[in-house]
Amino acid sequence: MNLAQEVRYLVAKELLLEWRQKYALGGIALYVVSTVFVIYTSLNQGNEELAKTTWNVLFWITLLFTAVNAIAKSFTQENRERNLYYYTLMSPQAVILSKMVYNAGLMILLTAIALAVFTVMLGSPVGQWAIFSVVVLLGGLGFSFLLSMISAIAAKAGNNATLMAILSFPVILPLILILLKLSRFAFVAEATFEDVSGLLVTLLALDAMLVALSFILFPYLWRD
Amino acid sequence: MLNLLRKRWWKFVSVAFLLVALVAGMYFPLSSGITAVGPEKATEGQKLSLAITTYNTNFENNKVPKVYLRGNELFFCANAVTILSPVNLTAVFNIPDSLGTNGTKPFNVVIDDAVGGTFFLRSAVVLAGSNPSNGATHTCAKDLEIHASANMSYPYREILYESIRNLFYHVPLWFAMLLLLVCSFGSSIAYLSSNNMLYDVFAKEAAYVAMLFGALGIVTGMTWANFTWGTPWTNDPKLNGAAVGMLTYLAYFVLRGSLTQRDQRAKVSAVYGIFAFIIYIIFIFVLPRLSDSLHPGNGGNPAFSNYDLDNRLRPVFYAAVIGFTGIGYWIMSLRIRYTLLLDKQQEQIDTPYESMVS
Repeated sequence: MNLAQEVRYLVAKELLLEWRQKYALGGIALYVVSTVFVIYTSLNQGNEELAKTTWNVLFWITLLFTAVNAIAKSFTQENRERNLYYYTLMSPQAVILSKMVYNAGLMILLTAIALAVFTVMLGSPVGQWAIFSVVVLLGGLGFSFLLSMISAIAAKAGNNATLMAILSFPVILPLILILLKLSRFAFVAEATFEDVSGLLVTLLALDAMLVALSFILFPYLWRD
Repeated sequence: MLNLLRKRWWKFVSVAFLLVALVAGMYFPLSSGITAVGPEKATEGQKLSLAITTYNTNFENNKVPKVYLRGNELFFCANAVTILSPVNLTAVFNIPDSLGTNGTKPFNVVIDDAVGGTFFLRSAVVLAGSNPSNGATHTCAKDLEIHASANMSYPYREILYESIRNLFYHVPLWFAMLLLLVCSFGSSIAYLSSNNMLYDVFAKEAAYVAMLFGALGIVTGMTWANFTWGTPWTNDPKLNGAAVGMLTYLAYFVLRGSLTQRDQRAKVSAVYGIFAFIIYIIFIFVLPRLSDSLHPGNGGNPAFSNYDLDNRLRPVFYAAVIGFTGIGYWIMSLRIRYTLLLDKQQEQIDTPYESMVS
């Protein structure tokens, strides 16, 4: 079996598992909605207009926490023995790639939910939806790539939520800062892709580098 | 003794360099500078009597310095200079009545002293004028030659003042920290490719000492920022980079602490160490391009090489870099030896029976 085939099988397995445990996906979707609702009710106290910067920060922080919670379970939802069994069947690269692909899909879904709920409840300062969609898409991919690897590391250390957070927050900062900057561009209706091309390339390069790093480092991690 | 020198020469060298940097950094005075000039405004045609207060000068009546007013192509000499005290003098100017400026024009006050060298205060006096220029651009011969202070001294810079000495302590601490982090990164790679436990100890202790230096770098930096920028912490990419580095490696230690099995701890922390270091390097190289920094070399501020790190600061600065790096390496090697001894002791406790048999 080549790598692409292995990844396809493993992603199909992830989807099947998710389908059998629908409450997990529902749970994380509810997590997004509840978070936004808490923000909405908290902000509504003074009936003040939400500043663009605040909206931006709240949106990405919500996504960050959602991503950490959604991806933390990547390597622990199945027991050790079963993971060991996969490792005997598949190459480690296929395992990490499949997790990243699956988590990327999950993150895109969750980002879409978050964006929809944010827009409905808190309005949206976005002026250039084309740019913002690309930013959100690449941001979601970046989150899922980085957190998949971190969750693999945290899983080795008992995978408590604290560890997942403290390991991921400092390394996710460059990503977040680029995303915040890019989103600010997307708030301006006159913005074009030319204005943000430099930052978009940086973001793409960061995403690609995260994949490459995980691809190289993961094989060292799983061998027990 | 000779043998000790031969084997441990680098320890002596680094201690010597550090001592040189500590002593020389504090010993030499600052160059002369102008702290205050009054009045700050005048008009053309006026007889202007400037009261000038200086720093680190030693004016004497038999060696009166030359005083000039300088604004682009305009150049005026003081007609009379009176020394009031070693750090106070009065200079009288006859400002021409045709400056050729419509409005106001800032002038630098320049003092040319035989001992203290040439020093100036930028835009110290603003001259107002409306008459057209008569072509004359200077009231005396342009005999100003810029020469340095006669004695060894550090540059006098506004905003920085005496705190310029912190350059010898704050910056080398960061240099040493980054070098140690590179050391830790290299050791992590070496561990993953060889599975030699020694490299794991190396990676951990290098990161540990790097954090020690990082903490010192933050403390010295905050003291400096409080003096020069008026606040110990600003939203500056360099500061954020430092903070993120600290957070990353503190997380690294928490990760190590939460793993109990030695092989697994070495492997998992090596993977995280490599992952985090590469992202950290991207962070400190990418982030400054996203926003301005107050630090030299960023956001239009001149870099070290332009004028901040001039030739008087350079030798002491490099001595401090070598000294701090050497001391860091020494602390690291002591900690490595200590950890290895602890491991050995632990092994003996763990396997009393085997050691008795053998």
